[in-house]
Amino acid sequence: MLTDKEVEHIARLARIELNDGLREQMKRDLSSVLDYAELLQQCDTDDIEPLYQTTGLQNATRPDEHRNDWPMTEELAELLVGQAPEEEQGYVKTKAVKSS
Amino acid sequence: MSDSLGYTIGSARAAVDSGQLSYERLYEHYRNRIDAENEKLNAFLNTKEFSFVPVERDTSPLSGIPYACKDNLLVKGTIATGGSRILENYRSSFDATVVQKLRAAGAQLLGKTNQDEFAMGSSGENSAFGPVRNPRDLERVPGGSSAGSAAAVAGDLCVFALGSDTGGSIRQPAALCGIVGLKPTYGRVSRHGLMALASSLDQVGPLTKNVTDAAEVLTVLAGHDHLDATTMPREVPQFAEGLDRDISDLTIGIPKEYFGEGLSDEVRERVEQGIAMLEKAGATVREVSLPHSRFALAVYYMVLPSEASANLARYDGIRYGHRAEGVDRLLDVYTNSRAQGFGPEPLRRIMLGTYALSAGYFDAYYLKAQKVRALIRKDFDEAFERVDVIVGPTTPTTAFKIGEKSQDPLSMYLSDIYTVPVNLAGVPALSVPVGNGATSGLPVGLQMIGPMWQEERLLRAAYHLEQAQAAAL
Repeated sequence: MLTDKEVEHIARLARIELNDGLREQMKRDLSSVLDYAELLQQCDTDDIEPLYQTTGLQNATRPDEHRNDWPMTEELAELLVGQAPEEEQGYVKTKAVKSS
Repeated sequence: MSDSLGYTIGSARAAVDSGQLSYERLYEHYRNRIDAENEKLNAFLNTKEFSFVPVERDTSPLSGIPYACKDNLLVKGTIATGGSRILENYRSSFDATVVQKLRAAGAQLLGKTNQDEFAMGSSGENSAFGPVRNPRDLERVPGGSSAGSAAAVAGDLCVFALGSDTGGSIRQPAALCGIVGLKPTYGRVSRHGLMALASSLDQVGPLTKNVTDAAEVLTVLAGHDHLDATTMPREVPQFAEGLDRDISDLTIGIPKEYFGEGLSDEVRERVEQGIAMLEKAGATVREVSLPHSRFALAVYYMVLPSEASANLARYDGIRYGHRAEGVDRLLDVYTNSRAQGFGPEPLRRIMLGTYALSAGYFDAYYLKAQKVRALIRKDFDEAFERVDVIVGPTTPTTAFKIGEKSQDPLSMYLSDIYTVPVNLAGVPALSVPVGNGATSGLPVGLQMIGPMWQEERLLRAAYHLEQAQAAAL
């Protein structure tokens, strides 16, 4: 069973605010799935390379002619910045990154 | 079977060609169907932003055909929620490639369908906008995460629908609703404009009323896209051609691991009958083994949350989506926006993935899982040296009741036991209906799995199975 401290650490990494109820629930749910995942230790994977992707494609590049397919227009800028909860003069507005 | 499900692409086209109705009238017909039925099914989230677009000339078999689209696919200028509160008011700034392709083909978008939040779920109960109900029994789930798309097709609120499949999210709801659902080979269809869940597993695919329709839709969706570097530069066959070609050239493999404990009797019975029909239609049947099957679910529930935790990091309340108010520090904007906006399943999986990728645990969990994944893929490669198509049940049971599994995440995850290995390996698979279970009277789906890029033979085998069942009626 995960400890409170471990769950808090994960929540911090995941940028999620956990209240007491949620922390308890996460402890139970995560522990249950992690216990199940212990099953993988029964599988011998010595000398096996991980399979990160299944197509075998490498260095998939795109020809330069497509560079201008998506010009930044005023319309697109408005659509994009317009989605931000707070914006000012065409910029996305947030809290200060460095607080004193 | 298709008759009771309303218009297929074929019968809609026949009706229009014979002058019975116009494309506009066909669209109106489905608008009326949605108005009549959506309240009780909760299949559609958004229809008011969509309308009929006149077709100048028929550019494809899909011209004028009304369809529904899962809400995790972007349609420029319209709301796309992904089934989540965090994107409740998000307006898409571009079109998904698949949506562009369907538009160019003249297909008519009716609306966006309900789904488990960010495609995480196997029942449709994880939507922030209420559960979807199975048209075959309103007290039961339609499956998920493409719940609304499956319910819309099965309930005849559209001719076909688009879904996405990361661990079974097209095939499992197709099975539970009694329709056809296909997950293409990974890399066959562009993911550009699909809200990413697990980038090495996700694929977009069709949910349809018959096999021919699935083939027609796949032909339009498929193809290399320079906006998705994971798509394969590979020619797209006309998938609907040659479906009726004899299947005596096919050897069907039955994995013994898929017929063990956990499979309900009524599902087993129908799937075995389906296999017998394939044999009668000329296919050779033999047993195969996929020895690492028992690890697939554990691999999936390590790989998926890990990739999802990375993909969902963007929902931080800054550039779009829900932003928490009344907090002072930027860090609190992140942590509170996410805690407020995400439902329990995304929170669970993000946490799980974050843990599996974290320092000290990466080797034991994520890396280990990806190594076992290689062995699962190897099982399929070796089996496909001996057989052409692998056949088994799509799901262990028929549709369960709403609320039955929602309290225990692990029991919900077990619904995906036959579907997840397919995404891990990257191979294509479809679910085709094989009648109703003897005990429950609810739909049963048979899953066909093929080697990479071999959707043609899956569709051909499925077509023959469909024809055999129609002939037996």
